[in-house]
Amino acid sequence: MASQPASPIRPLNVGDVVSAAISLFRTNFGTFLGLNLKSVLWFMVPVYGWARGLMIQSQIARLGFRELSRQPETVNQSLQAIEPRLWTFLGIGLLVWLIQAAVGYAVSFAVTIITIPISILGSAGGEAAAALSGLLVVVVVQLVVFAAQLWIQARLYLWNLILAMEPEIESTTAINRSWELTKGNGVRVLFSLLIAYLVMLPLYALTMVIPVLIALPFLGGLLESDAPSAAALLGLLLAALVFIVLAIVVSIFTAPFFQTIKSVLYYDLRSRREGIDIQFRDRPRDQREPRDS
Amino acid sequence: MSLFKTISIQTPESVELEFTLAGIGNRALALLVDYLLVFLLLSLVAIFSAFLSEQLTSVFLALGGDADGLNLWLTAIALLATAAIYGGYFVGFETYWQGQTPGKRWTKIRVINDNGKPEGVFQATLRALLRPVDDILFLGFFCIIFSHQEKRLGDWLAGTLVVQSETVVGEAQVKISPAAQTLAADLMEQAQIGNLLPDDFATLRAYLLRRQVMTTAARKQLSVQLAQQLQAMIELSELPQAEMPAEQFLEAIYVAYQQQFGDRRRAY
Repeated sequence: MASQPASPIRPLNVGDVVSAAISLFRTNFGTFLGLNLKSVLWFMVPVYGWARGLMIQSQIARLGFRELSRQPETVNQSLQAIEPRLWTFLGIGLLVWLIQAAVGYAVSFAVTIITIPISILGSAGGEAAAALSGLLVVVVVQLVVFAAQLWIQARLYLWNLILAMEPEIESTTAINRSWELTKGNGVRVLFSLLIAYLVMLPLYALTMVIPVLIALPFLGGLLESDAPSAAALLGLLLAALVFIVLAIVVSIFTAPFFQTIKSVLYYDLRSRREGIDIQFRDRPRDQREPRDS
Repeated sequence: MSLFKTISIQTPESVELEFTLAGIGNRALALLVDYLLVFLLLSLVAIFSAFLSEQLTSVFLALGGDADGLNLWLTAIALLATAAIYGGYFVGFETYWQGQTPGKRWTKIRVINDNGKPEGVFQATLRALLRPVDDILFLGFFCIIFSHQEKRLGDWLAGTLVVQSETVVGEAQVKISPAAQTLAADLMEQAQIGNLLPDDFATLRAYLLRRQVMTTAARKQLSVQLAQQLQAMIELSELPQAEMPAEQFLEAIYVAYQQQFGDRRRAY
């Protein structure tokens, strides 16, 4: 399959989603990073800033999607398109967060009730059995809740990009639409996110490794003496500070990537579920068969 | 902008081959799958050898031997076995599956020689030897991300590329309703099927293959839109039947085009 420059993108597999998102981020590195910095600064302002920050994040995803669908737009154009919905982003964002929290509580409640027989059986069988069954219940409940929350997150993942891309739909419909688009594709979305985290692992690892390396020389001193020296405490403080700074820097670099993942997933799901890439190509007239006139 | 890097290789016979590079996402996923499998394999071996060494030691002691010396030997064998599994898994699979491991097969990628030939034992071994180096501090990851040909150190040394393996697209057949079959004959007489280009046929085929997984609303809307555009393209002034489902019309054009041009005008 020779890839002509103009050929539309085929439905992608999980790994391709991540690779495409990275190359999308790379080609727009400056723009997306700048926007992301802006949004991080806005997030420091309460309420209005949160809405603005969320909107700018969605703007990154929108810019990415427009580029994928070969209708690129400038930063200002996209801003004009989504600015009327500024408060919607915060409102629906809160709603999505509430849904996720509610589902988490509901699932943990349900699973706890289901696992009650195990704890009763366990407590009947002596102390060791009680402890073991208690541990088992906790692990099962946590695992199920974690899976349910991941699942919900995957199914609702696209809400902000839908808000940014589809001005004609009702704001709350964005949640339904994300659910509808990801139907039958939840696993694909989850795996894409998993691979995305895996690919970003080196950067996350850096934020852990460097502070530990800084703290290491002081740890010995701390363990030996009862009263920690001022130098050791200062060293630990420095390590903590470095960790915070690195975490912020890394998240500034990775956040746009998770928005471009969103662009690619949204494009891919719309091409799978709605066939947006199935279009007859515009063609110059002279390529057609000569007609008898 | 192209999302995926491609590479052209000129074979000694001057044939130009084009490959799409595997991409970091596919390679990470393949590695994850492979490491999970290796981990499982190693745990199995560890459990088995722990069991075996205990038996051996008691037999040895019963025979009046020195347990310390035996333990040293057993540890050495276990270490060797671990290294052999870790390296052998990648070398073995890549050699016998022509550059694929279970993880790579699942993600549909493959290791090839820089000149387009299949990967050999020698190269598979070099890649496996350098794998730990690439994993330390994620060197391989940064090399893949930032190098033009997505090569990790092992790939540089062995002279290999990791590409998407083109699977034969013998995928699902387009389902054609009987009504569309008969309609196709009419269309061939009444319309200019010849106006369609291979590209248009490919689009039509893509729709017919992928319609099942689309949402109902989108499927309906798209089929009507495509049908209207096609009707104009093939210069059909009037539909053969007044009330006709758009999908049936599309299927009929698909059949008509195939019958008229068969293999001569393939889009791919």
